Amino acid sequence: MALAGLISGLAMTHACLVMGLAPYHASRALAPPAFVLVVALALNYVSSRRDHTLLMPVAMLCGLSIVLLWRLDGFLAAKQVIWMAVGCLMLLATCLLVDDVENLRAASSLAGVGAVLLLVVTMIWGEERNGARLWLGIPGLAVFQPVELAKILLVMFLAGLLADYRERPPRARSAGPVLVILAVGVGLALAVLVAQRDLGAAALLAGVVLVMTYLATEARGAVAAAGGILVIVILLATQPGVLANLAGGGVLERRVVAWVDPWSDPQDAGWQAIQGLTCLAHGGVFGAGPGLGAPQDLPVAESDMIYAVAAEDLGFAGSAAILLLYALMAWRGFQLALSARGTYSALLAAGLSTLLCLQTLLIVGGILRILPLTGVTMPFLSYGGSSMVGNYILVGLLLCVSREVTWHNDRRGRLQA
Amino acid sequence: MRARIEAWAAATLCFVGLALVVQAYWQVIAAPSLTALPWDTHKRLRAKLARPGRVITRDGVEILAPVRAEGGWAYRYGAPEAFAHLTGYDEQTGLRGKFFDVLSGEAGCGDWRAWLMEPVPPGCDVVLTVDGRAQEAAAEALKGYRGCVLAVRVGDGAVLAAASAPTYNPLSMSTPEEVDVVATDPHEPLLFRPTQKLYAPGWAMAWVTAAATVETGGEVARRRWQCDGAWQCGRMTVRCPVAHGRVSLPDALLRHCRVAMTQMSDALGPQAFRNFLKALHLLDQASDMVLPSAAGRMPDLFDWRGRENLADAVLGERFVRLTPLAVERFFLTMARGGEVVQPYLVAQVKSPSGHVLQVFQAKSLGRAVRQETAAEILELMKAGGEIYKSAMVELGWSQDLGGTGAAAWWVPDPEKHGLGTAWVVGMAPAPQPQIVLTLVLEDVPDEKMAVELGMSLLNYLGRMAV
Repeated sequence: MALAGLISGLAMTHACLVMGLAPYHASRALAPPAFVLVVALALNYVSSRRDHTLLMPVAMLCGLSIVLLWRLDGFLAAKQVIWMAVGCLMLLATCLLVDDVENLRAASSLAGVGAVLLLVVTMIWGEERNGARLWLGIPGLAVFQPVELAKILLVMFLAGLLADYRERPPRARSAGPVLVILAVGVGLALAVLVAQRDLGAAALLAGVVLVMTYLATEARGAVAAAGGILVIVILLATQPGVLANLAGGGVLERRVVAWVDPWSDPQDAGWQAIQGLTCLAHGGVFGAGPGLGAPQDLPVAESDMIYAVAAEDLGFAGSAAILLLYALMAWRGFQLALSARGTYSALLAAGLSTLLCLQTLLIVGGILRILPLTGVTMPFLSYGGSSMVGNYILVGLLLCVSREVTWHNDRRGRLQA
Repeated sequence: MRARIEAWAAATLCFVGLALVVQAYWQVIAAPSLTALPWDTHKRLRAKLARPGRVITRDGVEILAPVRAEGGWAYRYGAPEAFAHLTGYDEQTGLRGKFFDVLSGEAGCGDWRAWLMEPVPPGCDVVLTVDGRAQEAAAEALKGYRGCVLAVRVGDGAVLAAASAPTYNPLSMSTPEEVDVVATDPHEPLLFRPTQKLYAPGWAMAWVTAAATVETGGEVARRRWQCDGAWQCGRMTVRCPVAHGRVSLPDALLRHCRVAMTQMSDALGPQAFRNFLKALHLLDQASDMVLPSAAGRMPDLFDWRGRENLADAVLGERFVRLTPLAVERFFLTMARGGEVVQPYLVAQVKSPSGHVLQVFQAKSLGRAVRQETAAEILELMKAGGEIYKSAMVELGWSQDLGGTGAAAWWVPDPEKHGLGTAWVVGMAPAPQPQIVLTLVLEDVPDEKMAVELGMSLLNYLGRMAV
């Protein structure tokens, strides 16, 4: 944790020097590691039984997020610090409130209802921004993206549902529930695609449903078929016709054009993709240096395209390190899933890790033109309050699973001794 | 389930590996082609972070100097209007555009000390051949007129002054609306007249014909021509204000005999004339001049109107158009003994700590005429200074300097316009020219004002050269 703080501090000091800013601004970059340090100390105060690796990449990514956001817009960076503080509180609250992960299983149905409700409410009353209806405003308070919370609730719901399915005797496991889960999952993703016009959220929700179903059941064929159907429907929606009109009237088509051949429309549909790639190109191997890139012409650089900004400032070496931090988090998450004693805990850890991986890979793949560009935020790095708070809750839940795993491991060790 | 979780985790890691490979492709292999894309704005945006280099004249006047500004660096202009066409008003115009990589440090300043002392490698300085005082004097002389001044040092082809009027203030060109106002001004203040504007060269072309005739030698150069006041050339009648009688080449030049010059070119033939123009590079664009330039225009000397077109070319009228730089280059060639050189504007590129990184010099384009021919043309020009009130004028050199020159005033349609373009080409000092100056004034009633301005500038520059 101290190392994370030191690296962020050094990076910010360099950025301050380069940008000619007053040194006291550096304190903001030190804030995220400091917050996480406080959370870690608070958790240690309650109980030291937890995964000690998981919070380090979070602290480093958050510190880097401030460095990157600051060079884009100081106001956004300041707001991000506040959201990080809120996120840390939520993480702490999650860890303190969830005494035993298995207790969450009872609330899995409630989580499912909550997830669907959040999505439906957004579909009906959501605010439209940049062509996608993802935002929900609370009059007089704030606006947030319910899908960031809904996806965690969906994982909790699926973990409960699939754990129930797995705990049945093998003979009692019929294909019916699996097909229903897949159908509902694909239907939910398509509903999000049509009603919210958001390919990213749709892909994320569908991906989580398919992967968790694959992990928990033996229905490989059904999962593959559902995935295939979803891809075909999305591809059809990119062609002119009824589906395209339903799915936003050309929004998807533009995404696909920007993916397949951004140079065919460089000033409009392909602009974001091309600017993202030129950011990468200017980064080279070792980058332009913190704060020395020029992503001013990159649309939504602060959220969707933050990885391109990082790749320009820190180069291939720095951005590869960022990917490795995510890989480290995912690895710890999957390790927890493998070590968890209960099916629910294992599925929850695997689902949350999958969510983290999918979110990262969807946006990184989009920037690198491996996948179509989707409006998904990069966990802990992109600007966005809902995303930040949601991801802290996600890590909080993983820490809860880790606490249980560590407790059982300690107990086993004691028994063996 | 364990195996499936492991498989999924492995698949995820494989995707991370694929992402890294693809990223390496974009960041390393495809980077050169991506950074060369026209939509790449990074270089210009990044340049604001680096302390840009200065643009300074040969006598040390800072015409562009970096100053701290919000979000990075900006430029302060020294004498903005006098140097506006040279500096440009943004990163895409003038020297700021042409030397963007050097000034912004993108090209690398090659100075490890500067790199060590500043977080972003600073830009390099660009030193011009232009003399700050001469440029300001030229800009001051042109105030209230439309036209240009170009002064080049004979010895090395360095441009000492290159002023264009009307000019603009780069400081008031910060918004697209302000740029639009200047760009749509009918007097074309954005045009850098010495290299971009095409003028009918008028009697200056007679000197080209004279050089061609002397260079060819033989009977054409020695012959005397009959001027009866008018001569039928194909379907065109060439007229002189008076009948000059039998005139030799020097007489024809000094007495401004259009008939004799046309007869001379007719005898020379279109092929010889065109070959001579090619050897002089008279119609070529000035590619090494750093700033944008236009190519000269000449009607086809071999089509069905070939004879008439040749007469137009010799008299520098109708469809013949040259830039002041092209005319200057011709007289520079004569002053340099027949060697054609491309004048140059930028002398050096220096590192932030003052080390010379790059040195420029005039590019030789080969020999156009023999040394004897050039010397004879110079002698003719000196003689031309004795006659006033024709196209040749007495330039009134100060006693200690001496000088020589030619002036012409050409009106496209006297009845319609009443105003014409006045040219003055002069050299100083006369015994051994060191400076060649071309001055053009547009829409003036006669050549007097141009002669006065040219004379005073030539005296000023000549003194500097001495």
